[in-house]
Amino acid sequence: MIKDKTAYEMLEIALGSGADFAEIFAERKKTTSISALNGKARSANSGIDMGLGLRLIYGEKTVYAYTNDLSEKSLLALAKDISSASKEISTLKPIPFRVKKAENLHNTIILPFDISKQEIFDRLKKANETALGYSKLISEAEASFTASEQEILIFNSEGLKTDDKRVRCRVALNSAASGSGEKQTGYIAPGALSGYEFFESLDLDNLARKTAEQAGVMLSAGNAPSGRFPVVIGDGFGGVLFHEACGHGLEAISIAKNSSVFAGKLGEKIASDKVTAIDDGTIKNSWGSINIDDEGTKATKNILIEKGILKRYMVDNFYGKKLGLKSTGACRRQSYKLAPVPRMTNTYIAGGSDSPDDIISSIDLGLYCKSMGGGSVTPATAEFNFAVSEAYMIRNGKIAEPVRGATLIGRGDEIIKNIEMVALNPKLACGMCGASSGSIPVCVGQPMLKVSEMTVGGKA
Amino acid sequence: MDIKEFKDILFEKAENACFSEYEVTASRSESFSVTIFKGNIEKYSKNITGGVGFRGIIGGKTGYSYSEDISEEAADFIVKEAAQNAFIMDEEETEEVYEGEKEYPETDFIYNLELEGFKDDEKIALAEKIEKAAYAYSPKIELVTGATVATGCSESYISNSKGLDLYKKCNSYICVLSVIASEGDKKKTGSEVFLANRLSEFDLNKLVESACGKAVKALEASTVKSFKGKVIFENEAFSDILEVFSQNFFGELAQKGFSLLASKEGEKIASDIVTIKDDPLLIDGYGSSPFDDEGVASRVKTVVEKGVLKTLLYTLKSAKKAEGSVLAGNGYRPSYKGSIQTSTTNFYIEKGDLSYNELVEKLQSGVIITKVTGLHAGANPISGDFSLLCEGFLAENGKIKRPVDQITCAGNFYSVMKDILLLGNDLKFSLSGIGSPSVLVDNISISGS
Repeated sequence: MIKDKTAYEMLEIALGSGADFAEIFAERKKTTSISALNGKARSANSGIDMGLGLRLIYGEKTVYAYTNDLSEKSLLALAKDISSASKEISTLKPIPFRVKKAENLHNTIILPFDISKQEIFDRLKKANETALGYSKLISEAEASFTASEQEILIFNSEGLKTDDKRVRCRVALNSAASGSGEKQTGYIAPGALSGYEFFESLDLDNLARKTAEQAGVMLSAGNAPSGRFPVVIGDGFGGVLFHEACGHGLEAISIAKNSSVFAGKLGEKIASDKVTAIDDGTIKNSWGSINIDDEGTKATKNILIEKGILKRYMVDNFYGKKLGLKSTGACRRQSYKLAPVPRMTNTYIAGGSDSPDDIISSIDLGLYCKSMGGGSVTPATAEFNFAVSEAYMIRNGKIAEPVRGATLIGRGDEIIKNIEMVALNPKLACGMCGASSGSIPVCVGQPMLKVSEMTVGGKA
Repeated sequence: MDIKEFKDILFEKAENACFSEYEVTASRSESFSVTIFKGNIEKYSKNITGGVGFRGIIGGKTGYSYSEDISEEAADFIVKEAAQNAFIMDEEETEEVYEGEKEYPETDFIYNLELEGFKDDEKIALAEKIEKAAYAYSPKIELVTGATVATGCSESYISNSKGLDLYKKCNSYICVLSVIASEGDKKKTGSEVFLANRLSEFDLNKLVESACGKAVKALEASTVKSFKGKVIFENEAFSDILEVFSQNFFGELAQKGFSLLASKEGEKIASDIVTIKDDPLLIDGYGSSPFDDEGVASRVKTVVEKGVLKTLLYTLKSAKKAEGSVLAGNGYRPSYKGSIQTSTTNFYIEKGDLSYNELVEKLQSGVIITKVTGLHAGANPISGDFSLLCEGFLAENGKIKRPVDQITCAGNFYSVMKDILLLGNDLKFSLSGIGSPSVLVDNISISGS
C-alpha cells in the first residue's frame, strides 16, 4: 500500500516535531454483504475501504490524522500538517524498520470473494424458507451474510514493520412472529475469523428454526414482572452482561483516566470466588480473535479475574506506559479512521462447578434469561442496562412460562460480587462492540450462571 | 487521479459492462477535532476523506458497490461487483435513476464561509475554555472526561447517465462536554453537545450548565416506588424515543410488512394535539438539504396532522410502489458506502404552548424523565415495546422535589402517541435531526423499588 521509504519519511517528520512515538496504520479492506428477506434479496453491496492513519504521541497528547489519498505527496503533506500542531523541534530519528512477521494462527481456506454471490444468496434463501415454514406465526424471515478481507500494514518509529490479513465471515438470521397486531423477533448471528468454509459448515436450517422458535415463544409470552429477583443468565450471549458491565471497566483507557470503578484495584477481591474471567485473542478462528493487534502486538490469553481477584487489565502501549503495565495485545480500531485503544477480543467467564439443573432448582421465584439482547454501561459508575430477548419465569425450582419486555439494570461491580453459582461449560457468542475506536468484532461468553438478586424492569 | 477523471473511466466501464443506467455519488470531507483533558491537548486530529459510491441498472436490476481506492483496478472491482450484486436482486426492487428537476430550493445556510476563518488555535483555545468553565462550575465536578471542539466541511456530488449533475457543500462545528460529578462514593456522568455553523450561536454557559448541572443534580438521586401513570418526558428523552421508532414512518418498511403504520393513512394514530413534520428546508436544521441523495428536490411534509397519519416517507422506489400519489424526497445514502434508504430529514413533533414549569404543574405528582439509555437494546422498533433505564426527577404538588435514578420506564410507542396529554413549548432537536418538545404522557410503567 505504501513504500517503506515514504513511511520512514512520514515518521521522521513526526519525530522532528518532538513526538515521542509515531505510528502508521494502513489498510485495504474488501467487504461484501448480502441480505435476503422472505426469499428475496433485500440488499447486496460490496466495496473497498482504503486509507492510512498516522498517530503521533507527545507525552500525554495523541494526535491523529487519516486520509485515503495514499500518494507520496499527499502523505508527506499530511505528516507535515499534523506535525505543525507542535511547536517543538527534535533531532530524534526513527529506528530503521525490522520486519516482524506475525504467525498466522487462524487458517483461511476459501476467500469469500472467490464465491459467486448467487451461491451465497441461494443458501440464505433456503434459510428464509425454513424459518417461514417453521410455523404460520412467522411473518418475516431475514438472513444476511457479510465477509471481509482486511489487509493491514503497520510501521512505527521504534523500528516495527508488520502486516497481517484478516478474513472474517458472519451470518445473521432474524425471524419475526406476528399475531394480534404484535410482533416479536428471534435472532442468531454466528461469525468467525475464517474463510467461506465457516459459512459452508453452518447448519443454517437448524439456526433458522431456532430463531423462528424463539420468535414464536416470545409472541405467546406475557409481560415480565418488575422488582428484585434471583436471576439466571444463560450461556453464550449471556456473557454480554459481563462484557458491558465489567469488561469495559477493565480496559486500560478507563483505568488510566480513573473513570472506572475498577481503577487501582489490581490484586483486590472484586468478584465472588466463583468468578474467573478471561480475555483471549488467540482462540483459533474465533470471531473476536486477531494474530496481532492494531499496534502490531501479538494477541494473548489474558486472565482478568481469577477466583474473584482482579489480576490484569486489557492494556495497549499508550495507556500501558501511563500505568506501568505491558501491552496485552488488545489495542484495536474499527478502521484507519480511528486511533486505537485497548479493547476486548473474546471475553468470557470461565466454567465453574455447578450443574445447570442445580442452578435452576435453587430458585423458588426468579427469572431465567435464556437469551440476552444488547445493553450499555457507563464505565464511571458501572451502571448498566440490558434487554432480555428470551426470558422465562422460574417457579419452585423449575423453568415456567415465557415472559417478555424484561430489562436488567444494576451496577457491574455489585453484580459480579453476587454471582452465586456458575455452571461447567462456557460458550462463546459473537457481537460487534462499540467504543471510542469504533465498532469491532468481539465474542462474549459464559456458562449458565446465577446472580443472587438483580433489578428487573418489566411491564407487569 | 481526480474524481472527474475516475468518474469518466467508471462510466465507460459501466457502459461496456452493459449497465443501462448508472450513477455515482462522490464525497470529500475535511475534518478537525481537538479534545482537552486536564488542561492539555489529549486528542488532536485532522482528516481528509472521500470515496465513490456506485449504483447501476443491469438486466432490469439494481446493483451497488463503492470504493475509497480511486484507481483503475478499483473501477474494475466496482463494475464487476455491482453487476454480481444486481444479478441476485429482484426486478421488483429496481431503483430509478432520476433525471432531476428544473428547480431546487435555496439552502444557503448549510454552508457558512465564516467557519473557514475559525483557526485551529482558536478551536484549541475554545476547548480549553470549555474545560475550565466545567471545573469552575462546582467542586463536585471531579473530572472533565472530555472537552472537544470539532469542525467539518463536506462536499458531495451526484452524477448519472440521465444527465443529473448536482453539487452541495456544507459545514458545521460541534462542541462536546462530558463530565463526572462525585460526592462520597457516588458518581454521575453528564454530557452536552452543541452543533451549528454560525459562531455567534455558541453559548458557553448553557453548554456547561447543561452537562454539569445534569451530573451534579443526579448525585442526589435515588429510586422511586414502582407505579403506572403520568410522566413527563423531557424534550431530549422523547426525541430519543421518537428516533428509534421513526422508521415505522418509512413507506418502504410499511410495504415490506415491518411497520404497524402500514395502510393507516387517514387514521388516528396519536392524540389530537400531535402534529409531526418532516422539513428538509428548516433553517439551521441538522438534516437540511436542497435535495436528497437521489436528486429529488426537498419539500416539507406533514406526516401527522392533529393525530391523523397523513403520509409516510418515501424514496423514488417506494413512492412508485405506493398506492395513490405520494412525494419522494427521503432517499438518502448513509454515505457513499451505503445504498439508498429512507431517512428522515428534520423530523419533529410541533411544539405546544406550555412552559416547562407549567408542564410540571400540570403533572402535579409523578416522574420527569430527563434521559433514557439503552435504546438500541431496550426498544423493539417493530413492536413498539420499550423498557429503558432512565433518570430524572420526582415531582410532587407541581414542583420538582428530588432527582431520581435506577428506574426503568416501559410502554409501547403506539400507545404512548395516543396517551400524549400535553406538549411543552421547548422543541429541541437531537443531532440526527429528530425533534420533540417535552411531553406529558399517561400510562407509563415506572419500575423502581
